[in-house]
Amino acid sequence: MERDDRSIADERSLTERSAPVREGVGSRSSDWERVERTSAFEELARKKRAFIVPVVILFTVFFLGWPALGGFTTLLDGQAIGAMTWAYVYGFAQLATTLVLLHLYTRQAARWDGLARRAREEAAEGGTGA
Amino acid sequence: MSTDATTIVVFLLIVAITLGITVWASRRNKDASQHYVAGGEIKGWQNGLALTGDYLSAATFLGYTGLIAVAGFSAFYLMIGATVGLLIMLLLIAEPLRNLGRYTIGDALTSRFNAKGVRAAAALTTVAISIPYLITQLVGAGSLFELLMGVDYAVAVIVIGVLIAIYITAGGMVAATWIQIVKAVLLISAFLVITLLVLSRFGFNPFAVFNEASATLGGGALTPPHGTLEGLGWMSFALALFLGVPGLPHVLIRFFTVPDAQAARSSLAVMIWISVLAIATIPIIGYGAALLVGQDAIAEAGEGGNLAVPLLSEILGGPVLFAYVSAITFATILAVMAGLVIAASGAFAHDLYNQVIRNGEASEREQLRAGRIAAALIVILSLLLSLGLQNVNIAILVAVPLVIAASANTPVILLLLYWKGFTTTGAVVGMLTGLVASLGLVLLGPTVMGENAIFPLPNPALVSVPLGFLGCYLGTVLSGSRAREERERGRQVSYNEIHVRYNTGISSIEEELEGARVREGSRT
Repeated sequence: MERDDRSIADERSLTERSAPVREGVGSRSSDWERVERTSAFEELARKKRAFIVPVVILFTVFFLGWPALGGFTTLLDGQAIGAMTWAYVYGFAQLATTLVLLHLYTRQAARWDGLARRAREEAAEGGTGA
Repeated sequence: MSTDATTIVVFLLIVAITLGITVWASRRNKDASQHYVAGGEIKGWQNGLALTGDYLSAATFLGYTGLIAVAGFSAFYLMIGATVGLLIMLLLIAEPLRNLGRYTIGDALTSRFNAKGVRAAAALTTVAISIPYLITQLVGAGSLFELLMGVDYAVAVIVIGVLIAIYITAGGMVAATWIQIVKAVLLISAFLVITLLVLSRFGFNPFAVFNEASATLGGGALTPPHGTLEGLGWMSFALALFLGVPGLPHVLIRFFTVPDAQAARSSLAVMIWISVLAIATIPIIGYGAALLVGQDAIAEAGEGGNLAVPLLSEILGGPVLFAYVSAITFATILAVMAGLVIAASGAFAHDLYNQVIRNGEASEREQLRAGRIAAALIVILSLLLSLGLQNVNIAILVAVPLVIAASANTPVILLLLYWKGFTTTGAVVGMLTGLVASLGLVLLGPTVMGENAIFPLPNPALVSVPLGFLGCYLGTVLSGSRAREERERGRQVSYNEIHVRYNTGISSIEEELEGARVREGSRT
């Protein structure tokens, strides 16, 4: 099912760009539901949620914990590497995790692109994927 | 510091390059889509550099380095907050928003909510963020050039204002994007050169800079400030950056300039890489300045240590590097302002004039003209305000934009995408609550009221962001009209549509299904 539809996908994005973006209501909800109910779209939504929700919670807690620990405790005042304090090490560690998460996300997202493409094909074929 | 011939030549070179870009761009700038989003034809890496340009503003380059130099560790909270906030943008906002929006934040919100009030509220927050931002850039630039080159404040402000007006009215988003790209490359080179020159004084060992800073400036320069109020204050500041950067209109509209979600993603990847590397060098540059220039000399030269980098560059590389750094600062201010003017002109001309007043019926020609007139008026307004505010403390204007973005924009954008039960009333109430809470708490806080402050934190994000979310929630559950009823009355589109659109980039379902059938047919 994983065909290389790059050229067709490019064609599509071109036609979409020239098409006017609709304001407000217009399209029938059932047509959108048809895409939403394809097995590929359901898988896409599920996989996105499974990756994004825990990752966002994780880096938010990691980030907010830093000024909390730094301001309310003296835990981060100690010197870690030479005179560089743990507060700095914690900060630089967040730069590193940002790059790691960027890498993991772009790798996942490239797979999700394939699922989005499949959802469009399944919807066009009229199947619900079931 | 006197005006040096080198400095003038480099400045004129910057003006020539940016005007050259504008002339080239003006040939493409023929309709509203080109004016606001460069026709959606910017490539991922180009947009990545332009985003980097928005992110690495004069505040980062001069402000944060200066703060590290004179105040030590705490500025690091802000820089990291702004950087980790890019993950919120990457994972939750950028791609979905690019699939829903067209020119403005208002467009993205009204892809779901069929209500003028939502668009007007979005335009209001965009203006409330962009205009103070513009004024701080202009006032900052005026004072900076008065100090650096002895140019009269008023002259500097007027020259910069006129240049921005020319860029945007003639070149629109195409010009703004390429000026931003050129500036980003120049700024990256400056970060690199200064970092290497600082390190060369410390045996190319970054840890030696920290050791020396601790020994000379005292260990307090490397530890975070303590205490309940201090702790809450810096958490609040960090939160404003963390959730504010993903809600800045002039940054978000950059995602409408690329053709698809994949390009939005790759542009953020470029931006995050460069930003992380640049941020990592700032403590080195900051402590380098404190050690090589001296904290007293920096504090004397300008408020908040803003002149640390120019002073450091003069010591490291003489008048040539000083001229280079000053010119890059100039280019940075020009480029950031250009993006801000596009965002604000979209709110006035596209959201308020075309969509709210003219019901979206203005012709393409009228839209382009409205966009240009709005841009010119915004520059004139900011210019006049900046001239009037020369001797007024503008700290309040510096504080509000990011707090408003974090409290009024980010909550509504997140709930628009991820809360099925969100309603038009909730969106309007949320934006207004976030806006009023941000402004009100800054006015009641120490930034404005000094020692008599009623609200203790200089940056109120810790309170105003939850209030923004609460406004969205209460507006939704108390309005009496639930999401399902709004859908039945045509006040908002089905969540299925929004969910599918932002995940797949489909903009017209009929064409999608019809077009796919035709292609299926022709393939067999």
